[in-house]
Amino acid sequence: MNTDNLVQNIEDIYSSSTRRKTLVIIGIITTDVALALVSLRLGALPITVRKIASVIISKTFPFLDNNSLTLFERVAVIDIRLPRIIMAIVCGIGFAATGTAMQGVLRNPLVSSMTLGLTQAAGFGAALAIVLDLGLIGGRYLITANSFLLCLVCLGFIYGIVRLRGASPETVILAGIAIGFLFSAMLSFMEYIASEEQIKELVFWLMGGIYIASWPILAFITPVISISTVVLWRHSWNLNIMSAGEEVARSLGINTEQVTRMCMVLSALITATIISFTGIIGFICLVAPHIARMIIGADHRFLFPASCAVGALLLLGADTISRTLIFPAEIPVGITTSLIGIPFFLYLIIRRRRLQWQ
Amino acid sequence: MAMNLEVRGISFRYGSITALDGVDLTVDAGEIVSIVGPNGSGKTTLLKCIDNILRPKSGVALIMGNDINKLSLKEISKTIGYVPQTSVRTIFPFTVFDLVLMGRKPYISWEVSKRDRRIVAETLDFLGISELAMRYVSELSGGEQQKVLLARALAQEPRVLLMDEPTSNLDIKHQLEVLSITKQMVKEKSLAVVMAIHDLNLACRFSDRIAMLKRGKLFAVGTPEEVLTEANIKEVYEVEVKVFKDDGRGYPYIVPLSAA
Repeated sequence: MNTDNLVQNIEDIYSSSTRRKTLVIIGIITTDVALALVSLRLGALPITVRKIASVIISKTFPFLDNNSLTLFERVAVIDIRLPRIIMAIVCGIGFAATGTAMQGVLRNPLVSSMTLGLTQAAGFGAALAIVLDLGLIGGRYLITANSFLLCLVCLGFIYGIVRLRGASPETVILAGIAIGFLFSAMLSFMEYIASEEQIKELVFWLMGGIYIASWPILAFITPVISISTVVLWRHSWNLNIMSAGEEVARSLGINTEQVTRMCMVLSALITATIISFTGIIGFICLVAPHIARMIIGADHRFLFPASCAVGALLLLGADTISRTLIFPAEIPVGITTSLIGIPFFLYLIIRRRRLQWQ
Repeated sequence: MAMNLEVRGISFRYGSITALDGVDLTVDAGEIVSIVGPNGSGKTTLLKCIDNILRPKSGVALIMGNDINKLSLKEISKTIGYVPQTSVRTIFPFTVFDLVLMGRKPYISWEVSKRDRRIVAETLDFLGISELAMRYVSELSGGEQQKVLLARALAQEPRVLLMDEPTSNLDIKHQLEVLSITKQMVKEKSLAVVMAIHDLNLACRFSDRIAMLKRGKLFAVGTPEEVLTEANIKEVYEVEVKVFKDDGRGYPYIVPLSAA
């Protein structure tokens, strides 16, 4: 083969590999949509796909409403199942995006929101609200406001560490773990002084759940998560190159400190936004990027969408099981995500360990 | 005409330790200049100062006559390619093509153009590693990885190439191969190469000029014959050597005798 043909050949192989990756992403997204439809059908009252469709159509276009639907069907689909499913998808996307960005920017595959102390901070914030009734905002969103605020405190701390010139990824991770222990000690103290009732409430919150889902909450979290996720995705090239090392990144014209700050702040913002509503769901943030990486490789341009789609799939799947398995009771979603996700994850590690942590 | 690379009085300190002290150096297109000197003499630091990875405390590097401090990060990355010392340490599974494509970053905002793909494919072909394009970098041998790093720097289409110990992890065959490719590349693309290297015999054979550093100061600069003398090596490395005029192919040959 002559040189021109050989060169053309390599180009073709690369182009077809990117096409294949795009198809894989479309495949995972299609699975997401299919799972969402299945999930809409499941619940206390099984509702047919046809009924679901007519509820959604009559809600969107009221003039098409032929009054064949019961109030129960309308409420179940529009006010209960639909927001919950969308919430699971949006939160899954958010968790996966933060995991991908933080693992990329800190060049460490073990990083998650737990490693940086964010979940522990949120837990302590919730405990302050539940046990001491302390907080800036009273009422319904006291717990949410508190854990969000404590996440911001934790973020401020991490930001300070990153700002220190020459703070290496290892330093940031160590500091994150340290502050995580600090918050969890304070959380333990809250548990120690709490009454039995309060402990029950706190433990339930800590296990995490999406049952809180509603349209107003979605209206708040969806823009924050989607905008932040897109901005993180735009950093794909920078993250690719930074994972090859700090010096190489600098020699390729990347302001590594600025990229690190940006990614850390946005990731923490997404995490705080989600877990202040849902409680602690730590697992997806760690695992979704790994699963996506095993399927699609390390190029962040493709890894971000793939990882987000996987995150949505995991959380939606886990939440659907949570709310249907032992109906009318609910299993906290933190438990089901781990129960279904970890065996799958271990299987992937064993089967494809060649590609991991080389 | 301006030299491709001109270094004027660069000094650098790590805390209170002076790593470089007023180093001057010029490198023209089509020329390989090797930097030699014992461990800690400032070879790597000099390369990093030239590439603006480290900011010199004083002095300046000029690229094609332009002060590097006045260029944007992007402009610098379009003119200087850096081949790091350590073997590839990708934490995540990147293919050879992906890794070399990173060298196109200064030209890419998001979408990879046909030209970017072509340059990567041509560079792989030039270095004879086309077959490796879709392999994972971490699966490759040290010699192959070194070529991949070289390919990435070349994909930047630089005017100046900085290489930090390109042969330190390679066997004899790959040492010769990588340096021969470098030499060929320098002539074909009229690059200016600055290379930090430990092996004095390889330095003799593949460089046009040699700059010898001693504790951050430029001790000697000139052709291999001028710089690598028994007296200079004793003074800088504290080692007794015997220098033979001709290794059989016209290059000087250095045989170490004992630590002085």
